[in-house]
Amino acid sequence: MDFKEYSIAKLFTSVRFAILIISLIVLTSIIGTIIPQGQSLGFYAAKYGQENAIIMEILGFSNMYSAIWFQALLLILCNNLVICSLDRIPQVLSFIKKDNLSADIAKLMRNKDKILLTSKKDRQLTETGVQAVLEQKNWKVQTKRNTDYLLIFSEKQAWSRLGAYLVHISILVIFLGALIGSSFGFKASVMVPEGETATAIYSLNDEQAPIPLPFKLRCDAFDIEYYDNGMPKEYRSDLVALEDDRVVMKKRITVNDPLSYAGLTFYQSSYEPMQDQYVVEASTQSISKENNRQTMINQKFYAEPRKRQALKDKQMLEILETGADGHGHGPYKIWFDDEMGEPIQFFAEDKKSVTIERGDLSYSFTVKQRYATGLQVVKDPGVWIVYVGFALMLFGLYVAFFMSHRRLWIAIQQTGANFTIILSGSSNKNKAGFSRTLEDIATRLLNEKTLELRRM
Amino acid sequence: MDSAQFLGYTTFLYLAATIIYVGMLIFKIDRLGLLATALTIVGVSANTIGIVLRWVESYRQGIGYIPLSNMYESLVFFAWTIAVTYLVIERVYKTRYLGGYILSFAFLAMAYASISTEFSKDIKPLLPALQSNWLAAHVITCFIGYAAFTIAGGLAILYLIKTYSTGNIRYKASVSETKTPNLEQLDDIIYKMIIFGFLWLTVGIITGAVWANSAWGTYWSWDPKETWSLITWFVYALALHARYTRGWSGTRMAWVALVGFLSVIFTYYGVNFLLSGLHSYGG
Repeated sequence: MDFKEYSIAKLFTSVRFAILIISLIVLTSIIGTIIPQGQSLGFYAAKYGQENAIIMEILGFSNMYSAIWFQALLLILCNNLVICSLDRIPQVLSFIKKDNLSADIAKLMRNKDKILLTSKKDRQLTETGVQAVLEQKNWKVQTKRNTDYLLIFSEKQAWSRLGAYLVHISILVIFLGALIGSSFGFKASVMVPEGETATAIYSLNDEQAPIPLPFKLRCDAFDIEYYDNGMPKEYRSDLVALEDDRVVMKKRITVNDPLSYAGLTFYQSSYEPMQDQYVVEASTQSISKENNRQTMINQKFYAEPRKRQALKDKQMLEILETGADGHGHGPYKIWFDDEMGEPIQFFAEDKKSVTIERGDLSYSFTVKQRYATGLQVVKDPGVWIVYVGFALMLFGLYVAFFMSHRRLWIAIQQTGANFTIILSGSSNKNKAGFSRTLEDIATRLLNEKTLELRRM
Repeated sequence: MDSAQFLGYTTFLYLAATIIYVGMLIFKIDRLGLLATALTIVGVSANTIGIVLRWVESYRQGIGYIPLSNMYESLVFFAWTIAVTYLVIERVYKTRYLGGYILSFAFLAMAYASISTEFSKDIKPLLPALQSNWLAAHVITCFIGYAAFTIAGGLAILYLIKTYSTGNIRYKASVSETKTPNLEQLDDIIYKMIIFGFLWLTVGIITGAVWANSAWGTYWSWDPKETWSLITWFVYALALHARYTRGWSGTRMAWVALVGFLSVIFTYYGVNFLLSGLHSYGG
């Protein structure tokens, strides 16, 4: 290649240089796993001393993987992949396209794998018979008639020689996807209190700069479910996307199941209990004489302790106390009045429904902590390119490791009254497997009774 | 019977098989090999039953997850993968002479899982982040890779001992060694295990990345476990390139396999106990 004349390009074609770059990436990566990343200067000063901390900060060791020099190493590696591949692919292509019919019998005999057969039958029958057997096993044949012999050539999976380059290309595709993601995407976060609607999110890369949402996002509810042993089992948020106050998407998200809408994906990432804020669900049922209950009103509202709240149907409610333990998680002491008798007071446990019957009405109340759900918001238009890169990498590795370029030559040569049939070939991988393939073809030929072949 | 009992038998069976494989080598009694293979197969069965029972038990406790979620469970699966891979090698290469050597790693993994006090053996419910179908795919693929690299590393040690103890680095076939795998065969198995492990580690890293993206919206965060898996991947990538482009084999390849193995151990074990990060639940 022409570009080899330039010394820098030459450097990039050398495997030794690639090994040097990969070694540097490996060594610095190790440092990055030992030094905690993304901490404050004070943290490093306490751990490594003031002076070291400042040096580390300047060299970017506190955020090493996004440091310019580390990204430069990755870029050099990409460069190396491109130039190494450009340097070698033409050779591989010319090998794939090589005229294998120019081989002579001496070359056939030089192959490690060869089987010699002999026949007394006439030439025409032998030649067509051999080709028929090959075609049965999906070997597409090319032929060339030389002065004293017919040369048959066939090959399989010649392109598999490019497998390693598919893997190299896949790495470039993954880097491209990552680059597109970091150039045109962003990561942001937002805390949405239950019952409220977010119209902007806050960038994680750019000092919390607000990014307006192209639609509105409402959080209807957040809840944590626990296992019996107290470990958290599930964090979930009921999210609603709204455009012009019209519901366009509704989803209950959990940690492994985000909501995606209009190119943005919302992940459940944290939560925060809201100080002195409670969710109250109240329902009113009428009890008829046949004891049939009929729900009349369902209400959900947010209440603060010691603030009287007016509900529908002249009902009034107040949370008097939020719990004896001081954590504010019940049992809640509740005051309630429906103007149909004396106001009453009762206790309700956290998240547990309490039913009060007054006359022919039955009220149910549930009180719980109000939360704000913490959402991680990601826009990554490059992720599908990265996934394509992943798929290509696996395919490339499969091709590189498990597919082989197999080449098969058969020469049918007249020697006196007999024909000699030379089966010969080679494979760039799995040589034992190829020996078996060749043996299998020989066996098939010997089984063709009309050809009357014998081993030599 | 419960899973703990079966996994206890598994440890014992792998130990017994290891001893008998070694006995076969020392006393040169070929028939012992048959017994050792049988014990290994019984051991793998007990190991399988143990894993399945633990799965069933987790459902009975109302938790219900595939037992691949902590250090203990991963060691049990690791041992299973090593033993199964060994049986495949024994069949393909038609030799029992590596049995004692490779199975001792399966035994060590099981023994460490049962006696260590660094991690809990209880069935514990899954944290929200781990509740994903990707968990099984990610852990299984990574551990097939780890097991293959462990076998490659173990055989590399054997290769180096054989080479340096006989004093000649270039192998010369001798009649007395026809039964034991010769250096050339060892080199071939090491190379094949590296290929096999590399493929599975790649799938493991990719499934991890896809999972991370579905849970957090980031397919790569340079967390220590991720970074170390990438380091390991690079080490083996270098090994493969050295072989393809420079024709490395034999002693040099064995050294690379050993370095790779150390990297695997650190990725698997060291990261969990020495560094902190997203995979901290792995302990």
